[in-house]
Amino acid sequence: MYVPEEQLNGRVTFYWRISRLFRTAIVFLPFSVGIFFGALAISNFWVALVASLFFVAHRFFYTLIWPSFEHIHYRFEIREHDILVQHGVLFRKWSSIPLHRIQHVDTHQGPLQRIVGLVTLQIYTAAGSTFDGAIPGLRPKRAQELQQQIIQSRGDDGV
Amino acid sequence: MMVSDNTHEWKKVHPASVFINLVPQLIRILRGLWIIILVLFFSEENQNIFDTSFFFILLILGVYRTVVHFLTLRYRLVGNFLEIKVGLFYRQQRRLDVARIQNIELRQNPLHKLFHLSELHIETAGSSEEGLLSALRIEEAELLRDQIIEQKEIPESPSQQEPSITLNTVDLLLYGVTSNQVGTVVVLSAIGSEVLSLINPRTAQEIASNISLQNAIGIILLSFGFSWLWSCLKAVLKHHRFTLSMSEYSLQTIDGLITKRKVEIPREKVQLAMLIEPWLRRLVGYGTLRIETAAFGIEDGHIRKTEAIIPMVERENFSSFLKKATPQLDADPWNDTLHPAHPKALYRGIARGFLQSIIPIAVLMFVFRDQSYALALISLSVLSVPLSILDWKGQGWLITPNSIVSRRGYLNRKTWVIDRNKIQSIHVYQSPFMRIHNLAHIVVSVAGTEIILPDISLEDAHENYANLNRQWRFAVVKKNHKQSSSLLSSDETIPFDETTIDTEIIE
Repeated sequence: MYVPEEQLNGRVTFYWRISRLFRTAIVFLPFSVGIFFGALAISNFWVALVASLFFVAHRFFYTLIWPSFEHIHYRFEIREHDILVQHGVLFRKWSSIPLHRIQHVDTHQGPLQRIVGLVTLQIYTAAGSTFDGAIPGLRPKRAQELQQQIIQSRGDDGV
Repeated sequence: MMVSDNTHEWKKVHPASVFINLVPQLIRILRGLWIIILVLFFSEENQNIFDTSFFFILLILGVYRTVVHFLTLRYRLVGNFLEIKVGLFYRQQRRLDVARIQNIELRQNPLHKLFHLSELHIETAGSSEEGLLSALRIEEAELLRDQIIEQKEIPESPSQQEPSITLNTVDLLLYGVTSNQVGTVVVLSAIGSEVLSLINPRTAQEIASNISLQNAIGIILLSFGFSWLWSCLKAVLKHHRFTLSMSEYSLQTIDGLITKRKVEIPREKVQLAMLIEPWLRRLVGYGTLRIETAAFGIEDGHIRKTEAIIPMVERENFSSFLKKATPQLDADPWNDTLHPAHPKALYRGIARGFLQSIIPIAVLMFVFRDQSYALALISLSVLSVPLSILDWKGQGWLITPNSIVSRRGYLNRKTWVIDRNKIQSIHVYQSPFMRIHNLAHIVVSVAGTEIILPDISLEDAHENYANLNRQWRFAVVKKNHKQSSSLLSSDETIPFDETTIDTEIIE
């Protein structure tokens, strides 16, 4: 089994934690309140409390602890003819995208990423709607290098 | 190449376009709003909203669209590009590169036939609504098609084209009868009951409480009967007088009773062939062959993959037919022995099948709202176990020098044959359950589709993955070779390096 060499920049765990914390606060805390009252309507107070607390605990686990695991397993490598991306902790996926099939490469940077100083490299092939390959947590300089490297080797898109 | 003088002028669609497209437009609008209309129609209170003004608005919308389409659409063919501009407020101008065109389709609905017109669809990879010319005179449409094909440098030789397959109504009725029905019935009854209970809870309750077991079985049988009738009708309407003809460069299918469709697929654009064998159809010794390209098109307001469908092919002819239709694919899944799925994949299959069968049963229980049948229904889900075993036995995969074969499913068995030159990317996937048993599967993505191979061990998956990746190098070499030495004939290929492609990967 071949494990790709390069890891994401360590700051990406910080970025993941902060962005998920925002989402937890905005979307999931109100949602857990909803769960509490929903469960209260069909059952008693304690069941409702446990259900909503369980949900909150799961969400905080995902927000604060999970990113470290994800960082361990998110690896990529640009080889001579393809890009190899490995990601996922429980559901793991290894993707190989041949360089000559790549249609275009984007880098994008949200406001939070700008503060942290990271960019996401997004790779598109003609396969379209499916996940082709995204490499989050790159320093802008490294992302630009990769982009150049990928763009230099283009070819038949095979559609 | 001779190009007539008027080619560079902007051309309009036929004036009858306004009239012809009105009815299809209205149907499309009504289809888009069917839930709203249903709710308005059946709701107890707001009857007054659903009056003639509603229809009037829809009618105006339809007229507006068709008139704008007719007044503003202009098209021309300049060199390698087909240019189309359309729109009144929101103007669009498209330039379609002829080399990128995946297929060209001529369609005729009854009104088109009346005016001796035709609709021309031009589809390119990925996007859905490029290039619709709604009403052209047939000669004009055929001329444009021929010009485009000429630009593509595909020598068209109609004299060589002979119909290779024609189907009569009996074949099509058989096709309709042997379609899988269970899913449709379950989904329709679930949606029906949901809609009913949303709109009119009291009636739903009454129906649910008065239903007996005999009635329930009767209703189910009746809905199967209707579903069969419906699919027969659909098959006959859609594929009436099906003919397939093959030339050296393209496949052409013509079918349809109300709307006549003529699909032309250039052979170089074929990405994969797929044989579909629902169990009933397999029982009578037939299958359906689908040949797909990367294009998406819109048909009746639904986005669908553009493909040539050959509804009924006899089992004996599968491999010879596949060879004729797609000579570039060297695999023959009916004569070659496929590699089986991993023995431990059976556990996953059983668990998965059981969970999947629980869902429709839960829906059924929800529909009847009667707990007394619960045990009987749950015991039905045990049936999924032998089905999973049969599915697992039928699974198979094969990697040959230029194609990949995957076969899955029992009730609706599908066999994919993918052209390796069309692969966009390759993935290996492993879920937690699969990790326990050290399993993984390969997912091959081509433009627009993902094909999943059966579960194999993680080591095998990675070995095959590495082997498939090695072909990237081969593809690049081949391309460079072609560019650098134009003196070589175009059909020259580099022989496969024995070490790069390993067809006997596991034994």
